[in-house]
Amino acid sequence: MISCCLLILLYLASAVEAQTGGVTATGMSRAFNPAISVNGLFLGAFSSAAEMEGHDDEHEEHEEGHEEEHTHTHGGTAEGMQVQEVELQLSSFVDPYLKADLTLAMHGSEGIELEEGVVTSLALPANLTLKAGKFYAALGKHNLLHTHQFPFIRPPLVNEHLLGGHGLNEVGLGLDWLLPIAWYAELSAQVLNGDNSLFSAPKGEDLAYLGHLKSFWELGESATLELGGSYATGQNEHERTTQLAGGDLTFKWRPVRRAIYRSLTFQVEYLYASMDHGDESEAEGGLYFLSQYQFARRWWVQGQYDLFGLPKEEEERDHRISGLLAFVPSEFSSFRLQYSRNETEGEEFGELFLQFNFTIGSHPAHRY
Amino acid sequence: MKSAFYAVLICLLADAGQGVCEIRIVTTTADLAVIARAIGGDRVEVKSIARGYQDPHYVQAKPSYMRLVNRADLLVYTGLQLEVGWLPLLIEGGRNRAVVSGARGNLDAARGIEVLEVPEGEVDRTMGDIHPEGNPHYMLDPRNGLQVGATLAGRLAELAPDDAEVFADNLEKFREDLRRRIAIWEHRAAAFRVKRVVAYHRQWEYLASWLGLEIIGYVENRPGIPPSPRHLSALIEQMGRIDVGVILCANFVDPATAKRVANRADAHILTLPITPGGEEGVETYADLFEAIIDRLEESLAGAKETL
Repeated sequence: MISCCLLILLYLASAVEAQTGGVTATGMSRAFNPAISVNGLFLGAFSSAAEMEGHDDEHEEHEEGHEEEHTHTHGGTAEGMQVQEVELQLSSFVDPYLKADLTLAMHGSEGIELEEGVVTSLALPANLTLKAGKFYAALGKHNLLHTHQFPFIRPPLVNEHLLGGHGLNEVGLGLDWLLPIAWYAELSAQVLNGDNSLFSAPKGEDLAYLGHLKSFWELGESATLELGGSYATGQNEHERTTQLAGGDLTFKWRPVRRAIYRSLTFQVEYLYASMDHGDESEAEGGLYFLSQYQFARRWWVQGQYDLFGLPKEEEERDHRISGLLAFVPSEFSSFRLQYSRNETEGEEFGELFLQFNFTIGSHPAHRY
Repeated sequence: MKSAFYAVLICLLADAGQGVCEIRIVTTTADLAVIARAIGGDRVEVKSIARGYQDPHYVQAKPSYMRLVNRADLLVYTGLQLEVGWLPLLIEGGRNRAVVSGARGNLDAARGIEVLEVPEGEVDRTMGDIHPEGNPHYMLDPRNGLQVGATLAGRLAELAPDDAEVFADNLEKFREDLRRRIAIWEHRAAAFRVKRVVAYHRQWEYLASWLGLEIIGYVENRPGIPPSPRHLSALIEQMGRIDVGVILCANFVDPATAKRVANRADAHILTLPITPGGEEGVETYADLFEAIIDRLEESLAGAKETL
């Protein structure tokens, strides 16, 4: 009788577990596996320039040096067809106090890199969040994006020139504070290891410090406005100070009664860097302006203007104008066609990109 | 007496400027908000993130909503992954320990609901943006509203034991009123001469199963994926064959595709709100069903049964 009850209990237990898909036949639990998603980017790139800027192949063989990283570009600017990037994302709660998010990136079809690996606190008081690990520093808007989230195929000129192809991606600590005021405002303070060439002081004392303030307002129910300001400082390779400053403004519109059919975004961002080299100092900056318009449920048309060389003489400035058409069959895939007209150091050339983007696995939540 | 004094003092300190200590409730959707208001009465302050006329699948995770979550004592959501595209970010950005998963201030309203269309076997995305835990539109059966009311009253009593009696009274009133109306609605629906309809999205299963309607097909056959021309012609052919004259369509859906189908199948579109606040005059949970039944009656009761 008792054994019969036990059997029934065992059967019930296994039925429950089979439903949740938790346990293999050998009793290994899968119940606490992290949420996994994979994002793939395939790119065809064609250029009318004699040689494309920041050609990938030359740098891949000796990639360890940080100077190389400066020109090695994330956006993938080699010509022809290529696997631009495959990204594996793992997300899970560690315990009641911490959440972990890992992003492993494969650029091209070989090699793997920890793009982001962060643990974030869940239990701090006073609206504080602490994070530690390797992450994209809170410098403006575009620097926070992973390659597959870029609004255009390539990063803005100013981000690429000032921060390098990988952006300001650093090992460090960050504290975010949600301000207790009448609108949404978040203040971030980050201490970074300073591996980017902007902050690569030769001795150990090359920490960089960054502050970012983001404010956000709703303009009625369908539109929003975001305003951000960033400042970073640290020691450069000449053991002098590098300063970074930036500002960004984003306007978004999406009518709530027809949320999946129409939307519009305007964004402008300015970044400025000044580097003291001891005997001389250098100041560079630039901006981009972009607009994205969703004119049907699955179609987007976008435009961007890039300018690098503020402050600089007129003839030393780089310009780029880009147009993009995106077809988005579902939340999980997209096809994008982009044409850019570049004017770099007096030379003019065009670039054509066709990109395919897919996501499989756990349903991602969409950051605003 | 003394503890009551302290309670009042704490409330005053915590909520400077406000005289009454209220439970601040944030709901994801407007249907949960009106029920929370009915149960909580003057002891609660309720805000809904999504408006009644908004598609709850596609709410944007605006940082301003994080502020709402940040200040909430109780977060109520529909569950069954309806809000999976945006709520996790709001909870994360809200930094409010009181409302994270597992906390007392986190309430999944789907508890105790008999869920329809739970997929059998594994699901994958060839089926569209499917909800692996089942169809989340259960609030369109008012009997589930009764259950949600009870779930809410239970949780509110846990959060504010002193007011438990008030919540129980409010629940009783809410349920009594709704039960009386449900009987009337069921009576009216029983007189519908047409029982077969087509729906745009898999939004209407709970309503259909409650009223005994049969949904013979969908314009959007895979959730979240625009239908193919081939599917639409098959649907039109099917509608002609078994003479279905009505397409149910939520009011936030662009009716263009449904209109094309309706024209070719000699049918008409019935645009309905899916939540209170979905259109003017639809304020309470009961208003929602009054509006839906009125319009169904207009379309289905008079039409000739041809089969």
